[in-house]
Amino acid sequence: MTVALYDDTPGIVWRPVSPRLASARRIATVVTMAPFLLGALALAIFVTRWSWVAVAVLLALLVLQFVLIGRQVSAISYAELPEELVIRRGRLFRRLVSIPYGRLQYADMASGPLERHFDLASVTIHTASTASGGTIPGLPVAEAEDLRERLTARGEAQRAGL
Amino acid sequence: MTEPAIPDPTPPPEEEWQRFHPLTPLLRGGVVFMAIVGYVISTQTDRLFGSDPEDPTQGHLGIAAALAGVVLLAVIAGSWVIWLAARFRMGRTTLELKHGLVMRQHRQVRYDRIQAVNITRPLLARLAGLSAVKVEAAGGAGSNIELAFLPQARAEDLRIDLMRRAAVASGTVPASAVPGPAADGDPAGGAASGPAAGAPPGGAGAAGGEAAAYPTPAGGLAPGERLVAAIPASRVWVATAMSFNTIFLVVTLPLLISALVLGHFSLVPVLGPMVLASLGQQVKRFTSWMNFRVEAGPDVVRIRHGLTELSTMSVPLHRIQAVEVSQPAMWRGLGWWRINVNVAGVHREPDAAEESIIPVGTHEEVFSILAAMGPTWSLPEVGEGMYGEGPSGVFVAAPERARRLDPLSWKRIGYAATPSVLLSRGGWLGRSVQIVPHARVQSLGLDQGMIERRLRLANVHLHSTNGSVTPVVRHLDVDAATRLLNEEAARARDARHAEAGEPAADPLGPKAPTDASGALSSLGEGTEGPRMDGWS
Repeated sequence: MTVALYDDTPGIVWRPVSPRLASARRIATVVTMAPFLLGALALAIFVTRWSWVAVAVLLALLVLQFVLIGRQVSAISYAELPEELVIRRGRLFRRLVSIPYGRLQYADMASGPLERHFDLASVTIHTASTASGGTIPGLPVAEAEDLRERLTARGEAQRAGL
Repeated sequence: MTEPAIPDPTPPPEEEWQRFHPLTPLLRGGVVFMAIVGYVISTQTDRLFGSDPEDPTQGHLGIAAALAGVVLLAVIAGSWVIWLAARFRMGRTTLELKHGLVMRQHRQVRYDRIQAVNITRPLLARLAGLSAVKVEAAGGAGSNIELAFLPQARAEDLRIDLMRRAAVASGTVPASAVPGPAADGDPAGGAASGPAAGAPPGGAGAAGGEAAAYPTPAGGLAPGERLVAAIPASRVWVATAMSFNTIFLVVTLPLLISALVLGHFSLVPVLGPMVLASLGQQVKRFTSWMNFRVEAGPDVVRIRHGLTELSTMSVPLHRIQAVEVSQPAMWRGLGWWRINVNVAGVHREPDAAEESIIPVGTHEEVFSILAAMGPTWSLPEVGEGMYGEGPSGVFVAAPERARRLDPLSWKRIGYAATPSVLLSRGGWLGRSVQIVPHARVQSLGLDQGMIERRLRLANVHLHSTNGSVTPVVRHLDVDAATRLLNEEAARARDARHAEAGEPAADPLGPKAPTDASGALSSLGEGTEGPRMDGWS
């Protein structure tokens, strides 16, 4: 079985993350951009008409972000191989990481308030290397819990020395 | 040694709680004294260069001196109280340190978590004939223990004893093969002192038996260990001189002097500190590289170095995660190389000299050190990695398309897989080759940016533990990169399985949920250990 950046080799089940992650990220984007948008809007109405340009630019950025988030989220997928967990993510900057279960030190589950609202959680796999960076965002909470337990169990079974 | 010899299979006995040397508080005070002197000097240089025209004492020099004296006395008194309360002992499975009066702390480091035991001898301690023993364990900087200060001979004994206990506890060497520190050389078990699991005995393994693995501190070179390299002082002079730092100094120092002489004082506040900083760095390098010796035993590499501050570092071979042999551009004509390593759990300040197994070595020295570090690494391939370029029988090179991204070094870029290690080659004027044992790969990464995608190139990362070496093979053809990732995953898998047969490796175990608290747990209101585990 070979894993690759793009191709889906037969025999490997690549699981996507929940599309609700896109909604959560879009809301987060709106919340961070809202103050600027409102500020520009207030300027446009009360001070100078030129500020409508800023409003237009900000709105365009927002739309672009919405599109990008959709593409990013649909690009995240993971596969549980017999001995490794493989995570793929990114469109413009494509990356893949392959983490042997035996290298797992511990697996974390995290869920912020916004994620919780969408019933989502992220699972992070920690190895002795900080470069591994194995995070799977946007899993339904139940699935995340299952995954974390599966990973921990496999980690214990296949544990390798440092 | 204070420990009686005991029958083999039982673990070493618990020792009594011991105090540190009574001169410790004075030395601690001495450190503060040096700090005050250093501060005064630095403020005075600022004044000298005119960036800080104010007299910091506002003319009350006497009062300032008296205050400094009071602070010094208070520090010494405080250190004395702390010394009264500090105790350490070697327990059955842990090294324990109790300290603190108000906040009582009880730190324990399990022997099987010990990564390295170093001896340092700051200048003042050296004058007093004392040493500090630093114990580095798996985990963050907080998991290290410093035992300061002890008489020199006692510190040596302690280091050897700790290394022995660490090896026994992590299963590298069976307890039966280890003599007591009194060392009347248990004749059995000579075969036990091979290097880390996965690496068949070789190199100095023939030096013989357990006495080789755990020498008695005979002073100088321990029996069974051999000197692999020693840097002559002349080479240190030349090597420190041949650096970009020196070029910078050659340009700026005359500038500074002429500015001073010609009275362009506006330049001085800018140039002065810059010159001082790079001068300081050069001096630091120089003092740290002086008296540099590399010694190798069957399962350990030890370096000793320093001009004003002598320090010793022992690295167990099975802790070495990744190696980089590199040559700065300015040393090319001289044929000198340096070796840097990543060692599991050892986190130091980002100081190149500290992480070097040898900061400047000849071709022959580098090869004998590599042979001692990894008896199974294929040295001809490493040599090709150091000097070669383009594709060859063993090296897979980057395609010519990579020229767009690496106009100078693309010919050197490439990788080679040998039975035990993966080599990654790179660099143009300054060359380097990275060596990662398959059994030490943590995880693998493959990535591709926008331009790389257009050129059908990709990078393969071999994630190692934190350190100065970041193994990566850049700008391979995307299919070659994919193949490398999958093949290396398989090789790493096989190497892990091969090692799993042996108990040698140290699982950062199921009981160690976090990196930082895994190695060390503390009792009381310590700053450590949010997660308490079974052994605490």
